[in-house]
Amino acid sequence: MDTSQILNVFGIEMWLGVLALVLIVADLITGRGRLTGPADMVRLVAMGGLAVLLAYAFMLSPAEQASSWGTLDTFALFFKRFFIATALFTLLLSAPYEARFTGGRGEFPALVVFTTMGMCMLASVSDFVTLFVALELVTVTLFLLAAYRSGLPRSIEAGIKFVIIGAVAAAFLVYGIAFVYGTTGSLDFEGVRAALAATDEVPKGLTFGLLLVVVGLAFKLGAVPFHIWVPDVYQGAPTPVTAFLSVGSKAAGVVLLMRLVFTVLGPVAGQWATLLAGLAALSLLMGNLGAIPQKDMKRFLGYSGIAHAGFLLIAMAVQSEASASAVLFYMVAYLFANIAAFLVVIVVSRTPDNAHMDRINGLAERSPFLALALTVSMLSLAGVPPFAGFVGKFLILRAAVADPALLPVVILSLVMIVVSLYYYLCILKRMYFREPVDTGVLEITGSTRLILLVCVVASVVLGIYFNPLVVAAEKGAAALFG
Amino acid sequence: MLETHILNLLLLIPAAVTVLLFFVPSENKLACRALSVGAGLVTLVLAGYLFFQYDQDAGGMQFLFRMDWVPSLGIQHQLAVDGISVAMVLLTAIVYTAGALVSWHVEKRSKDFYILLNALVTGVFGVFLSMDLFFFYFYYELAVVPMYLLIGYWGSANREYATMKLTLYLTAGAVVALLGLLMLYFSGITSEPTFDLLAIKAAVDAGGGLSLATQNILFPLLLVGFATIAPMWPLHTWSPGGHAAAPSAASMMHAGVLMKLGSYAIIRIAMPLLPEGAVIWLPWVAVLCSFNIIYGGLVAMNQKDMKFVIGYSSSSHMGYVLLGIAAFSDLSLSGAVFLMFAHGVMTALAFSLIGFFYEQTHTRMLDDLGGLMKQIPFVGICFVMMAMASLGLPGFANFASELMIIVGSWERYPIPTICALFGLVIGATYLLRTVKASFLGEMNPKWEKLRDAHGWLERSPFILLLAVLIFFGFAPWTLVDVISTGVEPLVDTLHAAEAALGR
Repeated sequence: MDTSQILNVFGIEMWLGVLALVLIVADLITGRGRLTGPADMVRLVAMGGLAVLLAYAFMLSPAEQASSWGTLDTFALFFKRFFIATALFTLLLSAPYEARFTGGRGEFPALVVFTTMGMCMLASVSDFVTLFVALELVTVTLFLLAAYRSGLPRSIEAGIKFVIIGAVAAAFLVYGIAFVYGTTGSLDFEGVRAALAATDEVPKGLTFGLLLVVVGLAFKLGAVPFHIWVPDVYQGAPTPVTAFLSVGSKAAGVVLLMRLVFTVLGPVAGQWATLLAGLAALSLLMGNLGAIPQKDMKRFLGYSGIAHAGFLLIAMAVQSEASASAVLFYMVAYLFANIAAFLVVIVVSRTPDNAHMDRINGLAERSPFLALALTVSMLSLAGVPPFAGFVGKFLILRAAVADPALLPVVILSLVMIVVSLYYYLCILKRMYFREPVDTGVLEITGSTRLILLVCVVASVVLGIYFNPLVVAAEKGAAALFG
Repeated sequence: MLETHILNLLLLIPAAVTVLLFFVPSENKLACRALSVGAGLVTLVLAGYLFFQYDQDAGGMQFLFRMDWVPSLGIQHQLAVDGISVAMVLLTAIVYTAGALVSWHVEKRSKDFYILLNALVTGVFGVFLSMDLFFFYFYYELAVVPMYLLIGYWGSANREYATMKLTLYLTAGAVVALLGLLMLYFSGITSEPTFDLLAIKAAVDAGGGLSLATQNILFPLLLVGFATIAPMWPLHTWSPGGHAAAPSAASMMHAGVLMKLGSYAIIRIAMPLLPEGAVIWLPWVAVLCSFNIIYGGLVAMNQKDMKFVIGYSSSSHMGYVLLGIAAFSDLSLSGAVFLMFAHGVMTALAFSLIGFFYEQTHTRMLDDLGGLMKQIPFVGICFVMMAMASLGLPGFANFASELMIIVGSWERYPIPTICALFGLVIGATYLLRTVKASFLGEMNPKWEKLRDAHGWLERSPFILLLAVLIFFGFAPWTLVDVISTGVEPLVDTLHAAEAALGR
């Protein structure tokens, strides 16, 4: 294994690491972020660096040869771009929020970049050791970010809950990996796949190990059985971090689960479909029914996130190329809708600092633009045309209907589409039909306007002219099927 | 140029207005109104052109425009019209224009109102023009969801409950239909799965229809899904409340056009693609639609709110449409499509008139009204004519179409047809009762300040709608000839299926 080979696959990660270190040094030099100016500078450098890396990721072509450390296929590239874009959005989101941090404003971008580095690594992993290392890099930095407002009890609470449940999930994962290694003697995905393909009778230990791994990954995805942290942590964490968790962390779960399900489990796909479909059904029920009574925007979006994880799991259960590309499309639609939603939450929840749903009452009167952005976001999440979320849901359903065995979970998901429409419409109801509770002036900066505009336009364009993204998603997914 | 792009234009004009309106400052209400009314008039002209240019001798799908949209999924932007769609497009353009005109008086956030109205109209045109199953569903949902805000924000009495119920009901119906559509997509009629409706239809006609067992599953799925919006008893409960709560233009679009999407979808997708399934399941429709007619009529008779009277009467009249569909003879099916058109215009007229005086009286309760004819004679006369059209007086389009349905259905379903005849009596009762209670008799002194419709701008929507009703009442063949070019092949398909089933 020589260095050039590693750089070949993990080039972006190296640069992200360099960027993060530069940020830390810059923060040290400029006086540890106590001053407004220097902290803004650090964030700007971070955003600039991420933008350059995003452009670089778009120019990068898949590496011909996979090293034993990881692969840089079209699938990995798709998600690397996705993660860097998410990180960029997160930093943009943190601009109107940072005033609420008591300290450490300069380190915040560095932590986000470190997390992104881990996520990008996850997109390329091809063995269980790298998987665990990258996953822990993501999880540990997210622990810090969730508890970032150290003066605020609920932020600390969020961090601790996240740590505990994360640790349990990690334990499941490592225990599972141990079983996998014990039964196959191999830690890389190809080896395990070969072991599964070689025998008709899969050793029970191996199945048990893989089961633990899949269950452990449900933590990242925010799906049943490790979903319970989602609402609490979403509510307690600083809102830009919540946005990062809801999109980036979920995508990290998606990317790993897809690698496992579509490549490693390929030979025994049929046996796993039932389990995945079951988890999907439970996540759909838990997320959708849990979202209805919520009174806090961030908790609400947390439950909605569990429901979306359920949808993604359906696609995993189908295990076809169509379903894999549907997941990629779905994630992009989800990215734009969620970023817009959290940004609106940041703007309306400034003073007092909470995200109670009353805060969006009468938003259409106070700021038609914010109301429009949140409307588009909610309808896209609900899967209403002409927004991108509709196409995402449609693609997943299209893939799922092809497999008659999944009919029960398809029917459940259709019912849940109606249920979800109810609670998303309740948000519209608050914005348009209710009198405002807050009367303060909403401070909408130019960058806020720009991000919202990007999200709205992207949601609409991808909902109507979706062929380019469908093609890109198909290309990305094709790599999983060799 | 116009020949190839006329259907694109019909779809793009309301879509473009929806987008354009975002850039009009909201203080400039005149621009918002003028833009929408102008767009309505242009679509009306285009729809009229389509109606006259449609080649009746050739029949079939015309003005075809096709463009691959997502080749890998078999989705295409494909627009075409046959005789049935021509009638529906004309209806949509008429109601759109009238709706934009009566909304001239909407003062509260009129820009947003028109944005939603135009989005809705885009969806409706899309459903009637699109010959692709994906886009069919796409436009269908696009037509349903703007209604949520239209009713919820600009509506009246109990609007929040009514609008939520309506949206959820219709979406629930839509997802049932979606399941059916996706199963149809994968059913293997065509060698490669495609959403291309014309290709699927061609494959079915070439003898590649689905097995009876599959049709027996798919047809009810599509039927239940689409019949929710039709609305077929007992799936109708969203409709009267929704109509009553909606602002005028929204009720006009809704009762006038949106409800027709259901019957249209059954005629366009379910029946031609699943003919054997249709033959087996349509008798159930005949039974249920009798409930529509009788139950809807009897409930309408007991309503105190005028909009509820019209709302229940709509679901009663939709029973006739469903009866005509269920009987699938040339006469009854043409009559059904014709009634969809006639009822759309008539009910749009009803809601626009009620909306006109409701703005001033703030009540629609029959007990509070009375004697309005003295104060607002123009509106009153229009209302009486509307009522006459609705109860099936000869000389209005409704009479011709209902007669066609009754005569055409008698042979196959005598008992439901008797119900339908009886329904006419019920209809006459509640309509005359409504006219009497609101416009005749002693006038309540508090209505002395009521203002009648003055000037062309206010009167034009009513005149437009009435003129259409009367024109097609006296010259029904002009429209029926066009409709029947679309209906005949379908009836032949169904009769062949019936023969194949040995019934």
